Amino acid sequence: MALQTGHLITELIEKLNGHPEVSQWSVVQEEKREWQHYLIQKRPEATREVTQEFYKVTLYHTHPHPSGEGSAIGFSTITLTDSDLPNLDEKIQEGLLSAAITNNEPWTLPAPAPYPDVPLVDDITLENPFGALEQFTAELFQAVDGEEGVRLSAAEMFFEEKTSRFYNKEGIEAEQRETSFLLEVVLLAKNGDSDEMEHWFVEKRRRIHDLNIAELIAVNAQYARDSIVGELPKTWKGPVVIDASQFEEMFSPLLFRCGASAKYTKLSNVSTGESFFGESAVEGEPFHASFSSVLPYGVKSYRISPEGLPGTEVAVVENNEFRSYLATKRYADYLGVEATGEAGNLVLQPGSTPLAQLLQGPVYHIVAFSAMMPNSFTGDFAVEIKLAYYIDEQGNRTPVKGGSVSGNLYHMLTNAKYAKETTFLGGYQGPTAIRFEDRLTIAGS
Amino acid sequence: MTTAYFQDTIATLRTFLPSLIEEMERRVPYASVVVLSTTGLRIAVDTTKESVEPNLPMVGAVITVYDGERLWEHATHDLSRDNLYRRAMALVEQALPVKSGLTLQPGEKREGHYTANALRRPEDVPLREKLEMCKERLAFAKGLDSRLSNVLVNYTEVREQKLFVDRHTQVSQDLTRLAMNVLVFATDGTTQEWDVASSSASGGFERIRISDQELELAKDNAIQLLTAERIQPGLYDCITAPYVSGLISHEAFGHGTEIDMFLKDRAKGREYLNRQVAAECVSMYDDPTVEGAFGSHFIDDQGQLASRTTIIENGILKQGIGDLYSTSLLQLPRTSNGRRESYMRKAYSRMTNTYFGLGPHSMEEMMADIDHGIYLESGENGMEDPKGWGIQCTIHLGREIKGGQFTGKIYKSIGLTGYVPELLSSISMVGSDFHLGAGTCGKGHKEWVPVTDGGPHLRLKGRLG
Repeated sequence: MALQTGHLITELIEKLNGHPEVSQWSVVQEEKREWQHYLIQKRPEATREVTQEFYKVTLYHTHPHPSGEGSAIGFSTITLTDSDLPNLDEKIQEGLLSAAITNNEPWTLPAPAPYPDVPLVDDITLENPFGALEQFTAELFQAVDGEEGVRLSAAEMFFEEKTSRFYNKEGIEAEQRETSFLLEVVLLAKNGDSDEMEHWFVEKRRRIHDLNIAELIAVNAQYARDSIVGELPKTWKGPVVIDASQFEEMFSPLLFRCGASAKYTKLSNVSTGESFFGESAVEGEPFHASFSSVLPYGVKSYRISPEGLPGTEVAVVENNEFRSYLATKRYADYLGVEATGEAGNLVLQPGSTPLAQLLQGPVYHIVAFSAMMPNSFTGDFAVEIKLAYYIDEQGNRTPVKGGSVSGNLYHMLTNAKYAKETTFLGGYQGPTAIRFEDRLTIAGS
Repeated sequence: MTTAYFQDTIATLRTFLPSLIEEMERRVPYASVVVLSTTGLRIAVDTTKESVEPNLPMVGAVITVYDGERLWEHATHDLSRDNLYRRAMALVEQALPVKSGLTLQPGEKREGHYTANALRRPEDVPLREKLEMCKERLAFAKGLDSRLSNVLVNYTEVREQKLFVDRHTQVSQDLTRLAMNVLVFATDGTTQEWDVASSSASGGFERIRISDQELELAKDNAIQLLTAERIQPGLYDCITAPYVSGLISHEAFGHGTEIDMFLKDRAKGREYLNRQVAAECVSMYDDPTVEGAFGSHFIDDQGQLASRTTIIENGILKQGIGDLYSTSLLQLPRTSNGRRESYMRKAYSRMTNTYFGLGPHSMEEMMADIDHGIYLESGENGMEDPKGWGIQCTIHLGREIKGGQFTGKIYKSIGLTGYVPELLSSISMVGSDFHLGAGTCGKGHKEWVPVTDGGPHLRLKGRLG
């Protein structure tokens, strides 16, 4: 594919190819435009338009390893803008200075490959981004107005268009266009003389119209109202159901544990073909997880990874067995495994149990944590409940908030049941909820 | 963009921007321009690999126009005079002045250029010396115990240059922030645990140092955590180490007194100004003037000169921390807390160095009559809830105290939760020591800025789980 190239890229590539000390190189040119809209209650606080353009140039320097055995590679990424055109030689030298003093096991760069045609662009919104944000704002106001006892505290909207062009010494020349939309909404709820309580949510999609704002407000307005009457949970060690909206953060340690870089640096001990849970017996349903960068309009989807690998779906765990590392080309070469590129969207396989059955009481159903930030290395977490429901044997639901839930992601998954129903949440596709038996502790009253 | 090119550009803009502002303000009540540049370096070494890389530089200008109701901004990477002029004129066209609109108060006349004191400017220290420092710390730490599976050493420096111009102000700053941490990983063959030693500063390279003793403690902790249990949920007598005290100050009344949160009715603190919110022994500050601290600055991103804000004094909530827009609208005193993640984002009310004030107590006094309690030694992260006054802090490591002595038993990954006034009112002793720890602070889930938090040891009652 021949790309539209400016003076800088043409001259840069010539210089990189001709430089005797540059053993390998790759260049990513990025152009971003962003339209931002901020609201405080119903009045606009700020409207912003942002532009950014740069070239990320990674230089590789091969030199004898200081140990005297074989060669070593060093690399450095320099960032250039058009204003650097007169100083290209100086910038390349600057990058080489860093690259020449580090020693790593050598690896190779990706070669050109067929890149999948993954839909990533919201063409409708791009016709008039500020107009689309105004329209979305009107729909947001209308939805909030329809909710009793609830008002808007604030909202922020960011719509971004990004074009990336990839080049490397192996001959890659490819382009990717994408858009993304980030929405943050804060709702306030009050009932009579009660204290006003807030509930906020964040959503990210490729296309604005993939968000049903009326539906989102209805669900979250109810959460806001329930926060007013939410009580401290009981101290509890028993079944807990967690809503899919919490999964992207909750499953984040999976990225680390399945990463080839963690394996190479001896920080992950999973091996292909072995149980993902080590010696631990799995008492619940089998766990299946993959990362897909080809999910249509997935927020982590891509045609081409930043280093030039094609988008794909990688099954990391199948039937509790570890199947594949998430590997950039570097770590794939090191471990002798297939290069998969950066992780895409989290995809979990649904189970066979309807959600209604997973919610059979007595059980705690957590719909929002204050901030789920599990430890990447260990999977441990201790997190406050923003909103949950205690469901008793008769199905009565009592809102609860506060208290903390502690557990370990990998231990939880050894006794889990997955909902039959599925959902797509931008960066996640899979069951709408998971029930964990006797693996979590709630510290409450 | 080279440093020399940026310096030349700034020199040109110093003369050009005042006239541009003047021209914009013929049409709108307020206009300003800020030029922001962050450049830097990141070194990462472990036992298997090493890298020395420049950070992704973020260089751009923000043209701001206020029409009496709304802020209109254009943020651009193109710093040419032609582009800035064209964008500025387009903005004033877009922003029709609102007749009855509120006014932003740019404050008194301010001019000056500020740089940090440094014996050795980080830019002048050879790259190889920085790399060797990291490799030496790696070798020392790795050699401490055969159960260490790996050690990761990270060094970052970020040079922040800015120029802010409005009708009363022309100020600029050149400041470098430095941070180094050593992550120590231990394994027993099946599980991994970790601990960290860190150092941070702004200004001179001489301020960055991680001692042998700190690395030995990190090693001991990582190994001990391999067999650590989770704590039995309950209410405990706690002593918080300065890192954890800082986490509490940050999440409790740091975020809770950001004045833009008042404007959105998201902070209960607004109703509690000049009321008791903590024990009388508690005072709390936000202070960007702390010499050499990672979260310090000379000017914020809206040209306000740095000064200390007393947030809580003797348990009374005194004042919030604010940006230009929110303090003007609420007619509250402006503070030096208008900060942006980069030129690509708007300014919010943000913390700098947030900490509890000193007290008279020693560690021995705090420990003496604890029958059964926990020493909360290090934190991982936290989350604010300014509206509901809830708090969530994740504690990395807690040490058991029985009969006023450490028992040697430790707990891992402890959740500290509760109701902020209850937690702060339970503070019964405040230590006489002081330490600040560096981190990055988000507004909710985004808008990351460098900060520190800390203070002395505190004794309090904490709900742990």
